[in-house]
Formats: sequence, C-alpha cells, structure tokens
Amino acid sequence: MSESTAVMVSLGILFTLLGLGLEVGISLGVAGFVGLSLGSGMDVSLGYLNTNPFRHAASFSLAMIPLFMLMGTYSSEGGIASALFRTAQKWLGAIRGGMAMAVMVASAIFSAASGSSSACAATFTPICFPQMVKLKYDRSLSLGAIAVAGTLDIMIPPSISLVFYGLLTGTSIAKLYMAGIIPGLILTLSYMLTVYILVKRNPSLAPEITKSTWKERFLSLTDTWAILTLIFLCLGTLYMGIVTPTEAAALGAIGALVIGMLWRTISFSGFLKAAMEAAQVTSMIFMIIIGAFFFGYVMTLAGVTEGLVNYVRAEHLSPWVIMTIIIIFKIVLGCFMDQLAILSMTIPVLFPLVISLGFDPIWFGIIIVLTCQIGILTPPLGLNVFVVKAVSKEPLAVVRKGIYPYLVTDVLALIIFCVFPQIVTFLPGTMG
Amino acid sequence: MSVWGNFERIILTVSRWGSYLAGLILALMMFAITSDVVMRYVFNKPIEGSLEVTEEILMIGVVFCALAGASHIRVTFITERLAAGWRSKLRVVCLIPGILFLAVAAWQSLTQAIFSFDKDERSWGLLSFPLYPSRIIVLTGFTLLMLRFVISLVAAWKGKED
Repeated sequence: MSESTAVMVSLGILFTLLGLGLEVGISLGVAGFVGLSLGSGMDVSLGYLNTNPFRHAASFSLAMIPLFMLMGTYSSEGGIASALFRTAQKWLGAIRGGMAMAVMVASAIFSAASGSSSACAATFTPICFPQMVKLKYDRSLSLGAIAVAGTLDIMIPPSISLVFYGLLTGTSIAKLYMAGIIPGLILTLSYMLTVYILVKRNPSLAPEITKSTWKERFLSLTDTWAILTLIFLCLGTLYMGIVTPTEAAALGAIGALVIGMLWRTISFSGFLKAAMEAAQVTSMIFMIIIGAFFFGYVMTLAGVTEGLVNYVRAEHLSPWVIMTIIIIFKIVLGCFMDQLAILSMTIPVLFPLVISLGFDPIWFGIIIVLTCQIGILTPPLGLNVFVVKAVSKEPLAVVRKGIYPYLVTDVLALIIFCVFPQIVTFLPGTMG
Repeated sequence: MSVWGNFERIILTVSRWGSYLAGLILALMMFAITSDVVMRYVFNKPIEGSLEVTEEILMIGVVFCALAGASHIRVTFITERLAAGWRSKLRVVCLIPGILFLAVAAWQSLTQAIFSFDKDERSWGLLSFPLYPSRIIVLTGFTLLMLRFVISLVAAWKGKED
C-alpha cells in the first residue's frame, strides 16, 4: 500500500476511535500501529513497540512532569492556595468585583507552583466559591472567574502544556517557561479588567464589601513567604541556571511538602495519597506521549510534513494567512478534544511548516498554549468548566454563562501577541 | 463469588496497589534528585548514577506501575449524547482494537524482556545495572492495562457503564 493511503487510513482510524470514546493514548497507538504496518510493514511496527515505550518513559527531562504534578498536589493539600486567596482578598476585596479579581491574582501566583489547570480550578473552587456566595456575588460571575483563572496555569510556568510542546518540538523548555511569564501577567490583568467592566455595567453582580484596614492587609502578607519560597525553588533556581528543569521540579515538590508539614496540613497518608495521584496522572500523560510519538513517526516516515511545506511554498500563501488558519483550526478542535491530544496530533505536522514560514518557535509555543487555554473553556468539552461544575455542584449552564466574556478577552490577547511578538520573545531573549 | 468476579477483584486490587507503588517510587525520585542537587552544590559531590537510576528504574516504575490504575482521558462528547444501549455497544466496538494493541505491546515487551535477560542488557554509565527488571515492569504495566480493558469490555457487553 502506498504511504499516502496508509496515512489516510491511519488518520481515519484515529478519528473513528477517538469519536467512539477509546482512551486517547491507546487510540493514537492503534492508529500508529496500523499506519506503520500498512506503510512500512508489520515487522517495522512490531520493532517500534519493542523498545520505544520504554525509551519514551526512561527520560530524565520528562521526570519533571510527575514532579511538577506532585508539587501542585502538595501546594493545594498544604493550604498554600487558601493562604494566597486570603491575602489577595484583603488587598482587592474592597473594590467592586474584588473577590473575583482576588481569585485571578491568587490563581496566577499559585500557577507558578503548579502545572495543571484543572487541578488549579479544582483547588480554588471549594476555597473561593462558598465565600463569594456568602457575600452575595453572582454565581455565574464567581464560577466563571474560577474556571478562567485556572487556565492561567497553562500559560504561567511551570506548565505541562509548555513541557509537552517543548518535548514534541525540541524547543528549550527553560526558554518557553520564561516566554510564558509576561503573557501570563497580561492575561491576568486583562481578566481582572474584564471583571471590572462586567461589574461596572451590572453592579448587581458583585455587592460592595467593607474595606480591610492597612494593618490587616500587611499582616496578611506574612503567609506569602511560602509561595515565594516555592516560586524561587522551581523558577528562580532555573532562571539563575543553577539547576535543570527536572531538578527545579524536585526542589519545588520537596519545598511544598516541607511547607505542608510545617503547617501541619499534610499528614503521612496525605503525603502518600498525593504521590499516588500524581503518579496516576503522569501515567495517563505518558500513555498519550507514547501513542503520540508512534503516530507522529507514521506522519514523518510518510513525509506528510514535507508535503505540506512544499504545497504551501508552491501556493505562495502569506505566512499570516497560514497562521490564522492554524489558530482557528486549533480553537475549533479545542471545542471537541483534549488539549494534550490536540498537541500530540498536530504539532509534529504543523511545527516544521510554521518554522519554514519564518515564525519563532518559542512565540509559536505561547500562541499554541493560548489556544489550549481557550479550548479548555469552550463548549461542548471545556475541561475546566466541568471541573468547576463537578466541585461546586452548580448546573453546567451557570458556569458556562460565566466564562463567555473571558473568551473575548482571550481572543483579544491572542491578537495582541500576534501583532507584538516581542511581548513573548523579550524575556527568553535575555537568557543565555 | 464467581471465577470472573474473583478475577475482576484481583485485577482491580493489583492495579490499585500498582498505583501506590508508583507513588512511592515518585516520592523516592523527589528525594533522590533533591539529594543529588544538594550534594553537588553544597559538597561538590554529585551522587553517582542518580541520572541513570532516575531514567531507567524510577521513571519506568512511576509510568508503568500506575498504568492500569490511572484514569485515561477519553473524548466522550459524541457518545454521551447517545442512549445507554448504544453507548455500551460502541464501547465494545472500540475496546476490541484497544485490547489487541495492548496485547501486541505486551507481547513485544515480553520478547524485549527475554532478550534483555539473555543478553544481559545493562544501563549506560558507571553503575551499569541490569535492565531486565525495568523491562519486566513495562511488560506488567501493558498486561495489567490490557486485562482492565478486558474487564471494561465484558462490562460494556453486559450493558454496564465502566
């Protein structure tokens, strides 16, 4: 069978199995196996399975995935998230809509010590939502803010999506991390501005609350030493070039554990349970990685990427037209599929094309990750919306209504990052 | 309890214990890497072999011991709109290729484990420890996950959700 037919069959199998609801990693594996067997022979695909699952897992640089997961779990179990929200609330609570803004700020800072956006949203829902309801905040406003704030975790380092992109493309993960900082801050401020505008237009969404005194505000800062220590351990040491990303993750995880033990919020059984959960999520991610590399191998062998690059060259399409098509395609896919699945299916094919058009690999990483942020909110899938719904036990429609305004904010931010790429590339450029 | 019931219980229990083991290995990895960093920067004496051990024992342990206990992501936006009967029929249809794939992966891991044992395959670096135990962990992970899929298949066949 010709290689192009094998690719078509492989793609057909992938979409069919995904649609039927087979586990994503396994679907990629089946599609890869069939595609490679048809294109290059059964021996080649058996040989691939012989050693490659082992090789993909046995990686020191990928050990950062379980370690960052572990740090995130210890930080949320340990009470770092609630301490952050208390502080943010003291400083912002007096502004109309300030509680929703406090969620944004607390999530953004927490993101610097966590790698998973759904974990971030799941952590903040029980901390923030009951308080916001008590203060008579609108339910949609409150839950929307929590779901959206969780997506900051995708952009603000350490981020599993950025690691995944770096892994698939061979781009420096340390530089990707640095590149995520300024866009992450801009997004946080834009979300806060969105809350401000929403509340200005409809003051009934968020009542006025009595001010905290300056003494209370400064006293609340004392608990922030914990998060600052963690951020130093997992990002500061990395930026200073003392450690590799994996070592930074191990330092962060142990830091979060020690803080939890000092505050007596993590028991021995809590320590074990968090490690087990982090290992399970890691295993799930690696099954996708193993499947994605298999599938990507079929695409590479068949020269799909080269074909695409040559086609685009021959048609003389403007690079920005292609980029716009890619972004729209990603956002649409994001409505229906898991973000890691989308990255693993599309990046091996699209990345060489984008680079051949002259775009910066780090900038493209940030743009792609922002489309993941959008995808994690948009219906019908929208993972964070489901997480917040499940934890708060509110109807899905209430949460969905709350997120729509922020999608506009996200798209505006996407346009700004495209028009001014320096926002993204400036900080990694300062690294060696 | 029926033979099938016992089988189901054993596989689920082993999968759960596998996840706990993976958690313990992960905690060990956290301590090992941190100790290495501290030894290197404070005492200028890195721990020999910590890189190979992390890669070829600990990472394999974390990923493959938890493989059967992990909840793997699925795209369900189509199937959740269907009636329960159709949903379980389609689950049967998609689980079959999944089980076959995992069986092939387990079979290939088995041949690699035998090869590794026969040829005394060893890790790179100074420690040079045998790799066949790690190969066996990969084999066990794929086999257990395949058996969990078989359990899901039987449940879906009987019209139950898993």
